[in-house]
Amino acid sequence: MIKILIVEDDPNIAKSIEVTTSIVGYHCDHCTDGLAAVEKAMTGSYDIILLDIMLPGLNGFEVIERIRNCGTPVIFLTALGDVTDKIKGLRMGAEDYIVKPFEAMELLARIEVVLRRFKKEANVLYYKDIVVDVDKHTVTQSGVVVDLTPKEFDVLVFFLRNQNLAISRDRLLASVWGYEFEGESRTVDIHIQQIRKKLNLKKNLVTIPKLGYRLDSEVTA
Amino acid sequence: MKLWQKIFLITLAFVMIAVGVTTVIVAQNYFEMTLDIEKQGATARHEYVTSVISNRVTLEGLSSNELVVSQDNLRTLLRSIVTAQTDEAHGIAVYDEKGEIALSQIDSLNTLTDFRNKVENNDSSYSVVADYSGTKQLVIGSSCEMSGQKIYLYTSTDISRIYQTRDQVFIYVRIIGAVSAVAAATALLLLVYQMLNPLSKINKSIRRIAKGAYSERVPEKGGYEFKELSANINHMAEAIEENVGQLQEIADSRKRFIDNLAHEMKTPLTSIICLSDVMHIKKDLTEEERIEYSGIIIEEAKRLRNLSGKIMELTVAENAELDFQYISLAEILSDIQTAVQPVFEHSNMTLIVEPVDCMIRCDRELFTSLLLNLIDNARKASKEGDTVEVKCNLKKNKLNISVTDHGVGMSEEELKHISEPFYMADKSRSRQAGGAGLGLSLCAEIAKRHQAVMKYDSTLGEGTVVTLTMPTGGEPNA
Repeated sequence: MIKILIVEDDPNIAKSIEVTTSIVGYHCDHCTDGLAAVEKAMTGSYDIILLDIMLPGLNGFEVIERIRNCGTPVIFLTALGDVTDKIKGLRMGAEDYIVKPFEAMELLARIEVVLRRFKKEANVLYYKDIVVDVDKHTVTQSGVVVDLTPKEFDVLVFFLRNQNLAISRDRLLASVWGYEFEGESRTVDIHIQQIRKKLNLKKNLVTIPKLGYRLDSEVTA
Repeated sequence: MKLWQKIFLITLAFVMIAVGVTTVIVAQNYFEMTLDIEKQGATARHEYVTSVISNRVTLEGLSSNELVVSQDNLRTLLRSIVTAQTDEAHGIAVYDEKGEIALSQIDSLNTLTDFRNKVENNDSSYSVVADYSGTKQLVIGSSCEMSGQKIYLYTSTDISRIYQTRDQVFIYVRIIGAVSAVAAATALLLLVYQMLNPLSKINKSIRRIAKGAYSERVPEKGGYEFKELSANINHMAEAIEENVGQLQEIADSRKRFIDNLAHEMKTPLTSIICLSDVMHIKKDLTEEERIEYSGIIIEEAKRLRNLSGKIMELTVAENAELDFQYISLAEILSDIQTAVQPVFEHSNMTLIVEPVDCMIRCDRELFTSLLLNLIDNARKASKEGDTVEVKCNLKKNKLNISVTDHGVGMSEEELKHISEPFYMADKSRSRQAGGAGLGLSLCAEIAKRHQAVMKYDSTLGEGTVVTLTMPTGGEPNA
C-alpha cells in the first residue's frame, strides 16, 4: 500500500487531497506545520510527500532542505505559481510542482508519474482473471496470452490504475496519446470497444453518458 | 564644436591678436620716434652744412676782396666743402641752376626727380627717405642764395640701421608671439579643462541618474555656477528619487495585494475544485461523503464570497465619493453599541463605551464600519468573560478614540504586518471567524480618507489598544 504524507495547513485542502488519493487506494497521513513534517518524514515510512510551501513553523523550502537525504520523493503543492518559485522548488530536489488550484485527476496523475519513476507502482496488475505485466508488456487472461495493440495496452493500464473513476475521453487522450494528439475522441471509443471485446469486459468497462468511461472494481462488479 | 574647444580657440585668437597688435604698434611707435630723432639730427646737420657753406662763401668773398664770388670760384669752394663734410654716413650734394656742382654719397638723388623739383621750385626745405641699393637714406634738400646765385643743397644721412632694427624687432615680435602663443595655448588648455572639469563630472553623474541610479548625487564642486548647477541637479534627482520611490512603493503594494489576493482565492478554490472533481468522477459516494464534501465546498465558496465582498468594500473606501457630514460622536457610538451588544452578550463579553460630546466630520456609513471593524477585531481577540472598552478623549482639536481589549495580544513582528492586506495574525482562528485578512486594510483606508491616524499598541497575552486620532468638527451645537 502506498503511503502519502500531506503537509498542508489549510484543513479543507488537506481533506480534499486525502479524499482524492483514497479513491485509488493510497493511505494518507497529515500534518499542518513544517517542524512536524520534518519529524514525520524522517521516519522514512512514506512513499511520497505532498508539501505546501507557505507553512507555519518551517516553510516548504526549509522542510525539503532538511528531508532531502531521507530519499522520499517530494511534490510541492502550492499557490505560489511564479516560475521562479517553481524552478527553486524543482532545483531543491522536488520531483514535481503542482500549482493550486488543481483538479483531482491531475493530482493523481502526477503522483502516479512520480511513483512510477521511483518504481513504487506495482508493475504487475491484476484484475479478475486478467494479469497485466507492465514491464514485459504482456496481457494474459486465465493464463492465455491476449494480443493488444500498444495503445490498447496503454488504455487498459490506465483504467486498471484508475479503477472506479470516471475518465473523460479528453483525459484519456491526454494521458495515453499525449497532449499533442489531434485525433478525434472516436479513436478512444474504438480502442475501448476493442478492449471490451478482447478481454470480455463489457460489464466492467462501462460507458458514462456525456462523460466517458469507468472501469468498475472487481468487488462491485 | 565642444564648449571647451570654443572657449579655447576664441580666447587664444583674442590673445594672439591683442599681443600681435600691441607689439606691432609699440614697435612702430618706437621706430617712428627714432626716425624723428634721426630727422632732427639730419636737419641740424643740414643747417650746419648750410651755415658752413654760407660762412665759407662769405669768408672767401672777404679774403679775395670781391663782393661777389665768381661762379667758378664758388663751385671750387663748394666742391672742397662737400668733400670735407662728407663721411660714411653722411653725404652732401650741391646743385646750382646749371646743374650738378658736387655730389658725394647721395647716389639716390638721381632717382628722386619729384623731390628735387619740389625743392628747386620752392623756398622751403623738404625731406624724403630714399631707398638706394639696399640702404635707406634720409635726404634733406633746401635752396639758398650764395653770392647772388641760387644754390640747392642736399644732405643725406644713412638710416639703414634703424630700418634694420625695426625689421629685427618685427622678427623678435613674431618669435615672441609664436612662443607666447604656444605658452598661452598650453596654459589656456589647462585652465579651460580645469574650469570645465566639473561639467564633465556633472555630466557623468547625470547620465548615471538617467540610467536609473536615482540615489546618485552630483558632487557640488567647482566654481559658483557649477555649485549652483550641481545643487539644482541634486534637488531634481532628489525629487525624482522620491517620486520614483513612491511609485515603486505603490506598484509594490499593488503587486503584493494582487499576489496575496491570488493566494487567498486559490486556497478555497483548491478545495472546491478538487472535491467537486472527486464528486464528479468517483463512482459510489456514500451519503456521509456527499454531505462532508459538499459541506466543505459550500464553506470554501462562502469564504470566496466573503473575500470578494471585502474587496468591494475596500474599493469603495478607496474610490467612492465620501458623503461627509457633521455628526455627533455619541450618536454614532450608541448606534454601534446597539448593533454589537447582542453578539457580545452571546459570547458572554462586556462592551463598555465612554463617548465624549463632540461633532465629527465623517462619512457616516464608512466611519461606522471602521469602528465596527475595530470593535469586532477586539472581540475576536478576546475570550469569554473579557471586556472590550471604547474610550474617547478630546485634546484641543484632536479626538482620540481607543478600542482596548484584554485578549491574546500580538507580538512586535505581527504588529508590523497587521495593516498589510490579507495578513492574519492567527490564520486558523481568523479563518474560523470568517476573516479574509482585509479588515484592517479597510480600516486604514477609511481612516486615511478621514485624515485620521491609527496606532496599535499590543503586548502578547495582555491585549491590544488601537487608538484612532482625528480632527474634530467642533463642539456640538456650535
